[in-house]
Amino acid sequence: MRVIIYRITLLEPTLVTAIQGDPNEGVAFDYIPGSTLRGAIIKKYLRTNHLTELDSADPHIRRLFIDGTTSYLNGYPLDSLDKRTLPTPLSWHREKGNEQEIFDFAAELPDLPDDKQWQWVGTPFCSLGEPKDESKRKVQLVRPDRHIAVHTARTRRFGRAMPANMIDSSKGDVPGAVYRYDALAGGQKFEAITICGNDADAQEIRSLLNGEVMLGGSRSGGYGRATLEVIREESTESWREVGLPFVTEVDDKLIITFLSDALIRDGNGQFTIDPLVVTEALSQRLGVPLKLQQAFLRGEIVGGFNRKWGLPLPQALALRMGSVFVFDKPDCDKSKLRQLELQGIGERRAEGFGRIAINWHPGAKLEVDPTPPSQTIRPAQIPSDSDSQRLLKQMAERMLRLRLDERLIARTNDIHIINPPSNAQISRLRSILHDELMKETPSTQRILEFLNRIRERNTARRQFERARIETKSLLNWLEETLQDSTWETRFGFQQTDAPRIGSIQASLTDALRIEYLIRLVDAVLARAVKENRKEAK
Amino acid sequence: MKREIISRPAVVEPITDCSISDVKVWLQTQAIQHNLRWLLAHADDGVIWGELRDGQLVTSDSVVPEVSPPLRAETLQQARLFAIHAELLLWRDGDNRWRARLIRDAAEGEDYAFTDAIDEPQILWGTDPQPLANGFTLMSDGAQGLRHAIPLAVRGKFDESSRPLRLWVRHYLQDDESGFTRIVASRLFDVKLEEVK
Repeated sequence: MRVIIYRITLLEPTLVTAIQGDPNEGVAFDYIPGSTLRGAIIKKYLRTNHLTELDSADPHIRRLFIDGTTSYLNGYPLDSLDKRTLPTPLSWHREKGNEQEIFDFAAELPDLPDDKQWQWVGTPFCSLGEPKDESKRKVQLVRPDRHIAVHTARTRRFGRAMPANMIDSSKGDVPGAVYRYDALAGGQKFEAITICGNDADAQEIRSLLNGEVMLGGSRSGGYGRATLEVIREESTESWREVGLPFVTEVDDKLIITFLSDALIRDGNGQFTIDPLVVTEALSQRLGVPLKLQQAFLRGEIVGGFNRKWGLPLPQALALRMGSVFVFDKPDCDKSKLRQLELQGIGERRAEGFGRIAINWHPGAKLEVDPTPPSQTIRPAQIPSDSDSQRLLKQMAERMLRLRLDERLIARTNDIHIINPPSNAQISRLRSILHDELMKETPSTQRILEFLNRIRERNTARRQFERARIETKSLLNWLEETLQDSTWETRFGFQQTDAPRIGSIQASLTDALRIEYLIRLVDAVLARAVKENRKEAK
Repeated sequence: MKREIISRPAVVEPITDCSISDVKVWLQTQAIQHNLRWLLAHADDGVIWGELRDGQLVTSDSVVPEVSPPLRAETLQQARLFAIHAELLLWRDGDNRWRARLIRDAAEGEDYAFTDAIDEPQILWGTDPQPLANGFTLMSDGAQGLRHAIPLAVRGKFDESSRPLRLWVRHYLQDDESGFTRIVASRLFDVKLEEVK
């Protein structure tokens, strides 16, 4: 059996969506699933062999991609030493407020009663260093970078988003919608593994694990371009997925950690995360009965989309990666344990499900290594006062405006004018607001002067004072808002939230403050005008 | 949707004879033996619907082979034969061995594994029906090219808010040792058209 280890470099943000988030939101996994990698490699295979379709019944194809002879393991991010990380065990806890020390409850449970507030480590991936003398083992915790973007689905025929009642699906129209992608950021590196059960196939597969591929969804929207590069090939005799020497027992215990999600069925054919069913499945594989001491586990709904079918996959309940089971040390041969580790457990093992590590983290206490993850892309040095710097500044400012626009919409939706003035009164004020917004440097001076004039006119004043926003009169609210110097609080936005590109960060200037406060006032008044019209009907 | 816990005592029976050479013949024999009407099978190369008609299992690959692949033991992942009273699930375990079980309504006085259940209609893909031969309909949905051929005649055109097909699932409930009630088994029991308002 051969093991091929390869790197994946994301050239673009990558969106392999998990089942979570809102309907108008695509949230990507923190890793690249083996099923996605297998799909990309199948596509390369088809291209290389000038095929349009895969014959799923062909024994050669089945061995390469389907029946589990070849397994495509998940791509996990790298640590600061460019080593493949693994899912953080769910038995790792830390005391609230202490980010430095980790206690492994699988190795040793805390004494009870315990007044400490324990919580799970909370970072999805980790790498465990080699033990050095008596000191605590060092652990690096890694969370991949994310790329969040808001997109608008346009109705192609109209060139803009259209409501559902205005479109005609027979003409290929789709209703307009705003949706949000939370993808893996581009520029990051991941490492994945292919285990070839048939040595003769390894060479063929190795040739497919180099070059450019597309991963995940929204490929035509600038997502998913990546490159693969084989790093090394090993024999399974010397290789372990955890990269550490094999330990046969830990204080008379057997600790099994799931390095990927696992799909295990009970006797009714139901996918389950019941620890007793998992124990039974593991016992069967080892050929000896296991006695469960502790289980640290969570469930996860797995689904996905099968491009071959053109349909979503049936959803299934999986044991989540990082789940840990502690058993009494069984009376079984080391080779059986190694075999279990190599082959994994449960279904869809060809796609990297059901990976297992045995006695991977034997120490009860661990120390967090503060070294940040390796920079996969070195920041470019941008000469000051260059065109590039001006361009980056412009980009950062546009991104800032996009984020402020989102906050503006959210804030406007929260503000409601009770008993608003007549539309004629509002229109007079709005025309001044629009005049100011058309200027290169808008000012609130003229608007405040107009509000002063309203105070002097009885009819108008009565209307603006009678109108209320929460407990304030509209007139007071307008004056306060336009003179607000702590506008960031009003928008729930801080300077630190401003986007940064390389070393250039957009700043919240006074000009932006004035512009967005005027726009906020205008948007609130525009809503009141609409509601007045509705009532008049 | 309001969910109601109903009493439907059910029995689970393992199917021991899983020596399958021709999977279609095996499924047809089981469908006849247990009086099961519908088939929903997931294979490596596609999704297959079928119906037992006059003792013959008619599958979607016979009417639209470009969408639905043939039923083959080599490529089949799992298959469900179902009717109102029972479901047979055939699946391939992690070691490529066939496993099967039957969940059926318990006869009066018979010992049962589950009592309480909730029924759930799951919406099936398909807004654009295209009639096929033999009472099948090709259901398409959206720009992604979602297509599957169901053994029902569907007419009309639907939008995304009114997909008419429903796959009915019965979830059996049981208390665990901590007292939590959980879904311990689920079976399909019907596929039908919902009346579109």
